[in-house]
Amino acid sequence: MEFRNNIDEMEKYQEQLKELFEEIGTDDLYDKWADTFELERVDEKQVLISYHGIFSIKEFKKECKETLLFCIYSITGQQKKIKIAKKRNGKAFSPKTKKNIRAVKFFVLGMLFVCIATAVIVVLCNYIGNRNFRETFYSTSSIKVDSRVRVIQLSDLHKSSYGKNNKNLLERIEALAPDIILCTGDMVNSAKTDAEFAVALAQELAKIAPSYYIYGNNEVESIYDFPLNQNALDKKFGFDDSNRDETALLQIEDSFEQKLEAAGVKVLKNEKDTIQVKTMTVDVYGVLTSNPSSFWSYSEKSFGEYIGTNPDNLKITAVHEPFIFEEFVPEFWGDLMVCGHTHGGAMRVPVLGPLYTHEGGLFPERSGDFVYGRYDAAGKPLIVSSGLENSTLLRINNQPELVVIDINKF
Amino acid sequence: MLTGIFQKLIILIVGIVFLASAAIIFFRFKNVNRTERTQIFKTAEYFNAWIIMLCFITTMTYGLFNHYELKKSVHAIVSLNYSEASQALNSNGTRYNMAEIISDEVVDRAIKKGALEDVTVKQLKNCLVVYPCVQGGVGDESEYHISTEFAVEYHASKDTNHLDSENVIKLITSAYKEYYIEKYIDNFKLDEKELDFEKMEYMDIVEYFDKETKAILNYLYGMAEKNPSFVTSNNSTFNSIAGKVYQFKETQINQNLRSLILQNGIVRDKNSYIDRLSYKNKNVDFDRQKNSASYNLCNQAIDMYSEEMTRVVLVPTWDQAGKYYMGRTKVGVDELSVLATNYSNYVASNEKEIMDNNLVIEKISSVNPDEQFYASANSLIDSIYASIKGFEKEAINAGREFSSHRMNQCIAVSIYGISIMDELKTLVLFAALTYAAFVLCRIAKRFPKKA
Repeated sequence: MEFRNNIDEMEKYQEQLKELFEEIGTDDLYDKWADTFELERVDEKQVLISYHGIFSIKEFKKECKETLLFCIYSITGQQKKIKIAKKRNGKAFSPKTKKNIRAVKFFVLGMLFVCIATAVIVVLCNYIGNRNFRETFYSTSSIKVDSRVRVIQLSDLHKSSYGKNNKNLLERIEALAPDIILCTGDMVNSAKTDAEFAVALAQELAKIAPSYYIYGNNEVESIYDFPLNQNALDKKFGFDDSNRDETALLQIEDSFEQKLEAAGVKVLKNEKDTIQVKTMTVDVYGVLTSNPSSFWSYSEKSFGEYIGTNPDNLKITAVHEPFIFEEFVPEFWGDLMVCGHTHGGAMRVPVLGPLYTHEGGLFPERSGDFVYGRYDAAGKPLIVSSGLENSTLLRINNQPELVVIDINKF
Repeated sequence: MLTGIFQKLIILIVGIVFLASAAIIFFRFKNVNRTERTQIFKTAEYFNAWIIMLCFITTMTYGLFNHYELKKSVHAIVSLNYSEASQALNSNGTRYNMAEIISDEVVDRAIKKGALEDVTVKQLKNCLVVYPCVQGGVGDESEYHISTEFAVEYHASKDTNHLDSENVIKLITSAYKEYYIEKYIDNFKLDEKELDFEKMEYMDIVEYFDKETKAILNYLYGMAEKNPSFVTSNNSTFNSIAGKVYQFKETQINQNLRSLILQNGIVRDKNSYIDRLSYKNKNVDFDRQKNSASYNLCNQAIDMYSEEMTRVVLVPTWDQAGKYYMGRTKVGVDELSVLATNYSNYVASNEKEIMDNNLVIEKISSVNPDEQFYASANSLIDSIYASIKGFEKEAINAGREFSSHRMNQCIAVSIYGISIMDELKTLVLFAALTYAAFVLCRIAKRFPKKA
């Protein structure tokens, strides 16, 4: 027999229950509890009573349960179980609801656990995967070359190692037979403390092919005791627009440069070097003042000479940071530009792209920053490497890379 | 390899759960009546936290393995963007063969280019497939299709598992582009042979210069025909360079150098050169006599032709639009008259050559030039030679610029790795199947074994 009829029926039961409670129970019991409970539902086997008093539900059950059982028996004529639930927000939770709440809680916590576990697994898998580097191949063409010129770019190594003394890295570089090797900065964390590491690497690279080293912010910070922006440089040398001398910065003694050059690698500090590759003449220019504020004021003359003379030479411009390419649009930057610094945006989110860079914030590519891959700079290719650094835990979907660029005739 | 096994294992387990549950329900269906059956399905817990979590974990695990499996397969589309491609031809007019994309030579180049280790041409080739993007049919003419786009698929095998799939396909397509350009397009090279003018006769040098400039002109006219509007980085067109070369040829070679040599009878070895020209004249005269005889023979044959036979013969025929018209056919006498004209031209040409040679002989015999004329001729030869080399370089650079412009468009390659959307679709489908399997499993348990 189903007792859950309608509101009128329930009100009738409620009235009867209160009357009986008054009759059967003592006056004290009635005064203390009569207004604290309501009949919520009457089922075939059980009755649900909600409690909303100021005393504990336990006390209510202890004092009133038997009386209520008798009252219910008297009203319905049947022996029924009594379920007493605490009333919240004007409504009592049934046991089923409670069970559902528990299930939802369990589910949410479980999902949270699974998500955290997944995140940990992804981070760990990436971290393990990042122990090895991948090779990224780019192809470009120039009418200035008769046969293929292969450039290998190493960037942002940050003193990471691939095998003992970077054996694996050097073996692959040798196998790929480059014509030119470019180290575009941040190869070490500090030029002072990590010089030995850089020199050892430079010695090996120089054995493979003509190699060039361009300073990154890490080298600059440890070599110079001031930032390389225009204000700081002007202040340091006492220059203004009328008497600025580009060579002043280059005259500062640099033992790191001396060590690298002794190892066979040419350090390019706002200067070009010309080499012969097979039958072709190649000009390589390395930018030291890569801060947009100081680029033109401290390298205009040397860069102008590099761009303006020998137009038939293949011209490769190497710089650590890509900011000057974002900031300025001259007629010609060179036939190929390479840079690093961005670490590929640390984490690369599918569809959305690189996640974060120090300078560009979240999703920097969306605001037009050059973060990773191939871009166009004055009609010629600009390659931004994600670097070779492999010690960061949060480098997700962004394996360290060795960049291999082939400049073909077509 | 292991990822593939695990991925398939997960699918197998989910599939077995699904099928077994469905089978249990099917076999125990009769053990319950309709009301009970309805009650079972109605009261089943479709949103159970355990099921959702289990389903999530299974899907994530499958997704991870699936991702690694998908990473092993990439494909690229090679598009041929030159006009001859629509006729299934290479740009030099030979038959296009898509199998060359994964030919041994291309694969070998790719291996060398990428310094790929521990893999042979055969092993890598076994992982590659090439097919036209649009296949077309052979049943009906409307189904015929000549594809200008070809898909190259790479699926890593046990032997090539250690290679980066995307790099492999990049290397293959880039090696193919190099191979194609080398084989079918880039044939123009600088003539690097050095000539010793001191050992050559002056008139021979003039002839050599004439031939050189003609070769440059032919190249430039040929390029201009391909793209008359192409402008180089120096703002020149093929026609403008050809104009300069032609002008130079006429003024410097034919007027200045030739006339200087002829006027002053400049020669290195007078007697030997005169003998050579006389011998040449004899040979040319033989040709002249033969051509003259052939000319006369053709005229005699024309005279012998019956008048009735020389009349115009009109034959009914139809044009491309299918309309009829009366066409004039060639008859024997037409052919003979064309031959006669040709022989007459040959005779004239032979006579001119003999006259020119006689003129040279006459000049050389009659004049004894001063040393200063030799000096001016030598200096003019040097300057003309330098100018010709300059024109040659200019023409080649213009050609290269054009080729570079055209070649970079002739074969376009697009590489397609893993599509995140496709992966998500697979995951959603898998999640739905897993959830259905687990729910079905729970429902199956509620069906009693016996009625």
